[in-house]
Amino acid sequence: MKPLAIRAFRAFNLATLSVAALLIPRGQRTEWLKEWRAESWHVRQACGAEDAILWQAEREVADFCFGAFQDAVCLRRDLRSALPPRQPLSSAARCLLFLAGIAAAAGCLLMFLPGARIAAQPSPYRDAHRLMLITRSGLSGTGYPTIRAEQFRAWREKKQKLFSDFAFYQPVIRSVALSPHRSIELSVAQSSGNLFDLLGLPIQLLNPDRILKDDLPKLVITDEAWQKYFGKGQKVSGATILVGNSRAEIFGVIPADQWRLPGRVDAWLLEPDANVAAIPAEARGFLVGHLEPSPAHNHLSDRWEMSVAVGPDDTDYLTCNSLSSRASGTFNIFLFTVILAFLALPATTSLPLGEYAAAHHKLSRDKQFRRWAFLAAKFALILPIVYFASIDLAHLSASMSPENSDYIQIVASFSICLFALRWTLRDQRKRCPVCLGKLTNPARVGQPSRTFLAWNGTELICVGGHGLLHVPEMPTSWFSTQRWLYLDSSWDVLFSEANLATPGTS
Amino acid sequence: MTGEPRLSHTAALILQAVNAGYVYGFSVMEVTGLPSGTVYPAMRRLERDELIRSHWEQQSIADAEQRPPRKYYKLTRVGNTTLEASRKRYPLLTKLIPSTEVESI
Repeated sequence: MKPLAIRAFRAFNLATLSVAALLIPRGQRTEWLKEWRAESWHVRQACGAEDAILWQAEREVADFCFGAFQDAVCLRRDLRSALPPRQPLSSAARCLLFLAGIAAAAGCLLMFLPGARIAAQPSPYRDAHRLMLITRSGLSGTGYPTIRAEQFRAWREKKQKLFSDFAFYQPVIRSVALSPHRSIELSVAQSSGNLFDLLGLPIQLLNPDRILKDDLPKLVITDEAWQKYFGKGQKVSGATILVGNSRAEIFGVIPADQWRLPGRVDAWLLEPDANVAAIPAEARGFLVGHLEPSPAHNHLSDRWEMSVAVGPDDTDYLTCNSLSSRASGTFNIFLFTVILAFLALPATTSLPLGEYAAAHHKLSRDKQFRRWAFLAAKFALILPIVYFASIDLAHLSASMSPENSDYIQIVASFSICLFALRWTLRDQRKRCPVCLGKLTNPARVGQPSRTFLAWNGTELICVGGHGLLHVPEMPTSWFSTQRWLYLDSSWDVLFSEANLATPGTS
Repeated sequence: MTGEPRLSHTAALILQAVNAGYVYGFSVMEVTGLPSGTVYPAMRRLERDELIRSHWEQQSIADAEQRPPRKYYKLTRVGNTTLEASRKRYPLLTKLIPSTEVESI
């Protein structure tokens, strides 16, 4: 019994030491465990408990073994304090991280807002730069259908030099019968049969093997409507349903975000030519034309005007907008407003960053480069913020019309860009050119009444001891802009005291 | 300024104990009355600062006596100098642990 009890105590002590050893860094663990085990043997010997159970001795040994935890904790504390202190991020690095964070947040928001995501994506249409949305002059961009069905039919039948093909669609609210007793109202675009062929949008066929009837209109629905009203059921493919008063076959599905043309549409009724001919002459819709590929058309820009004679004394004036220009519109707006903001910047803040003694020994070429690189990095991070945030704001509401979104983007992009540029310059002016830390401890110097005898303004100091910044209260001919005063080495003793802020931190 | 490290009283006590011939951890604990969680880490620090050095007893000797090998500690030259300086700072050190009880290694 006794040897068994002794073995049990030893096993317990060994287990205690082994667990304590887990707290020791791996590289030293074996050494420590070996020493503890050797020492615990001697503790047991010293207490006279080698061959017999002595409760007092076992307690001493157990105390020693539990002391191993204190050893381990103490060792870890020592190691931690021996590590070099973690350097806090410099003020400049934190500033750049902050900007990068805002850019990332605005970019993530753009991915979550469907309208913004679509606006930032390239055009999904094939040969988009040759696809022109043709509208009546003066009504381009309004979102209203302007082309009469009669005009479409006339132009389509007449041999064209400019366009190789036309497609027409007219969004109208129609009743769609899902079952004999249930019908819903959908925005259905009554379209010429070639609409999707012309756009190059692939239709996801619900049942490719099914042979459809040629004489019936084909209904293409958005994936949203398919999920909402048809429960994503494959069996509806080829089913004939009533759309308005005419029958149509359900043909396929396209993702809703692929539709970038004017008019909110839930479904498209691709009409056979006979039905297109029956569309009332005065019905107005949207017209898409495909430019004939020809070197003669290369000079045409993304937007141009044309006139069409519609009779001996009547002329129609039309505007042609390339579908690629519509897709790149958001980027063009961004570019335009950024240029505008750069032009407007001098009117809102002074551009000079201050006077710096160029030949001073403290400002090495590396430091000068670092200062300008920091400014460039801030500008570089501002641009994506402006781009993403302006698109986010312009498409916050899904019900916003494209025209309103454009206006909002223009205002938002210009405002954010101007504000950000202003902030960048002001922030740069308030930083030490040596360590890029924010200058602190502003102090008023001089008196306004003595402006003509001495300068008066604000003095800021770099906590790293690199210099002083003098900002005049009233710009004068001899002190027009802020001036940086480098401190020489005789000042170092003031800034070498412990607990002064680390250079580069604010 | 001498350049010798200034020791805490505990570290000086341990150094005095090692110098007095208490050359392994448990004996230092016994003679100083310091707990395990203090003595062993302190000895590691003293070893890191090269005031003491350690070596493991030969396995054959331990096997012959049917016990695990022990780790012994010994003062270095720097350790001796530092201890001398510490004795001036803590005069009671030699009275607390007299150097007479020298154990043979």
